[in-house]
Amino acid sequence: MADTNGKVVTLICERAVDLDQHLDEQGRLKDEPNVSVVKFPCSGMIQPLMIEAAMKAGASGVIVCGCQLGDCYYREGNKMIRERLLGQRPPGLKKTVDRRRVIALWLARPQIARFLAETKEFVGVLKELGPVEAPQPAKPATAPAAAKPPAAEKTEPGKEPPAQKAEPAKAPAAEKAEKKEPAPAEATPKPEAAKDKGASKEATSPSEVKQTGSSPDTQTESKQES
Amino acid sequence: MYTEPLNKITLKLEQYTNAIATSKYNPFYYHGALPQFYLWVLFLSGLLLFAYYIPTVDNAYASESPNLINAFTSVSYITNTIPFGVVIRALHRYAGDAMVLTIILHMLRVWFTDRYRQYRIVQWLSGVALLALVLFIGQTGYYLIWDERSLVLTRMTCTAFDAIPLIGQSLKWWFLNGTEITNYTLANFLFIHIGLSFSLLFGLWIHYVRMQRPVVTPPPVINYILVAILLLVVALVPLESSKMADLTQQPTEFDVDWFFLWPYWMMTVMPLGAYWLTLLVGTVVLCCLPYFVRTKEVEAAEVVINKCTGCSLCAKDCPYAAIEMVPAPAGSRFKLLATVKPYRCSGCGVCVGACAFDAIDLPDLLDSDVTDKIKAIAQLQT
Amino acid sequence: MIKQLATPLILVFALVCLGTTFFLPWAERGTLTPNSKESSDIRTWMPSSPPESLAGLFTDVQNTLTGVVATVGEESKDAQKSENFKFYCYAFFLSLAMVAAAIGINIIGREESEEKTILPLKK
Repeated sequence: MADTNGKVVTLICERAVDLDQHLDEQGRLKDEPNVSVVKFPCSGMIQPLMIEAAMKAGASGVIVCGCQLGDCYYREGNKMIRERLLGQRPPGLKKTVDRRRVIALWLARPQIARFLAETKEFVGVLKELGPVEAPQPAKPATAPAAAKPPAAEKTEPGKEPPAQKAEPAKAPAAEKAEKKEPAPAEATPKPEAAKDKGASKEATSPSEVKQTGSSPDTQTESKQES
Repeated sequence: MYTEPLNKITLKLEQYTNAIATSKYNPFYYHGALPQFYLWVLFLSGLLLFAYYIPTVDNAYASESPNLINAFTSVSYITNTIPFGVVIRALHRYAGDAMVLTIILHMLRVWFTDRYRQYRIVQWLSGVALLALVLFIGQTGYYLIWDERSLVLTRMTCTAFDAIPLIGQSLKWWFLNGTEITNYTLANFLFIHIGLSFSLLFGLWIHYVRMQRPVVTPPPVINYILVAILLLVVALVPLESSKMADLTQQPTEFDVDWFFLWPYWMMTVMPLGAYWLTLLVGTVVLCCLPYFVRTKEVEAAEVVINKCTGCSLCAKDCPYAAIEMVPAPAGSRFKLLATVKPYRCSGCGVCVGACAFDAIDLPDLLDSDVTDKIKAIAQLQT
Repeated sequence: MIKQLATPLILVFALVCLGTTFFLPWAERGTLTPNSKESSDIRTWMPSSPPESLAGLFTDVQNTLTGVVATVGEESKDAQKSENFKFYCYAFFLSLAMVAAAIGINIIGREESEEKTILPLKK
């Protein structure tokens, strides 16, 4: 469905870089129309789930932007999200997210030029990395080998962190359906399956689809809503 | 907001400082910790001075005789006889000045960057009280030297208290520890100076209580610079010597330390009634500063009770200690439940970022809405 | 480039510390009474004051800043002649040493990517 579209989502806090002059009416950067901006009251509100959702939905990369380290308006928000991204604080970023596609910037309000320069560089890096594999719901992993992941990432899909199992299966929110797909050992790291970095959950074996019952439907549903 | 231009200037200044010192060592980012550090310098140097200080006014003789032992001679002893005594004494004085300066800079920064209102009101009000305390403690420090200036300041203070209706005489009695200047007076000054200094710690507790992990110590890099500045001033601006206070004389000229003794200058240029009124109005204006700006009320975060697993991450992460873990209601599968103290909530959403179970929300910005928006953006065809 | 600066910087800092410590004996001299055992030992090998040029430097600095210096009382006017001069001198050099230490730590401790965090790839 979604294709290699090179979209970059920027999650920025209201008091970091002041981009108002540089955004068009749809929240995209005038200089880089592929980059869209979503504002938060504080970068500490950013959930790693949101980054995972962005990647899963087909974004090419995510920029997290908060205030200067040491100057968060709410004292600690940027420190929190930074530690979450680095894995030093729970909840963390799932291993399935390609770390090369996420950067974090800590810039004060007047540092617009720096932000634009870093964004431009990041977009260039993302172009080099190539397109993201689009999510393929309920299909075995026969997606074309467009990207060439490093060997280390092959074992990713099989190794969901145990913490995810603790997430209550009862969570009714449809949007959180991706989270619910448990990563049992059945997701054996097939060589083809390994290509899907952000799309590992969707490219699962049929047995997994049966286990989680409604989730692929709600998955498709939520995608259609978006 | 009327402080916006000042905020811009502050940010620009910090940008230049970041270029030199990096954000890890930028003193602006430790603006609250700087006066706290100077407080430790004051405690330490004050402790050393306290070891040799004698709080009496005995001066049977008008000049310093070798047998005379009183506050002034003890200070002279510290200054001239004890090795490094003059450095410790000067350190103590200039650390006091530095503390007032850094408090004022701290106050200005929180004002300009809009960090003093709503959920930060307790910090602001306790800060005003702390500033008043620090200024008064500094003044008592000048009384303790018991030189001519001290005598003039004491007399001026008594006159100022006389001008207060109703409670003025009681205040003067308390201040002098009697009806005239005696040994009891100086012992009182010492008690006020040291006792109020320790009560500063209590005030600081109130100042810090609504923050989790308050930054109270600058990194060593900044601490070295702070002490180096003090030592430099000590070396380049030696303490002036002075003459012992003589109760029979009335000296008319003395050096004014602008950090602490500006109220006395004010007393000389305006009638005392106006002086007290100015101080009162000034304090009230300062306390009311947060109420001059009216912005949207903060909508406190709300816990979705049936989703909360009691993992405590939100409580640990909340920068304002606004989330408390309480025992979960009976029948719950979990042990703890998060609850929000709405009067402390800043609406920042750090708790939302910490929650892996979608169990806490900002009412005006649901994270599910945000996630939907993100997905929509990610899927748009260009 | 900054990492290469580290070693020479540490050497410079060590020299500054040693230099400051070098002035300690003069500072401490004031504490010794004429009859103490230590004083006679030290006086045999130590000249009575720091090198003249350094004392001159201090005087120059003081003269330049006269406008800023509080001048009530004889002690400040005659700082270099008073007994306390050596303590002021010590404080001055200690402050220089502290500034050098701060600069050293700053240079060695600053990270290049302060304003940007790249997530490490190793899992």
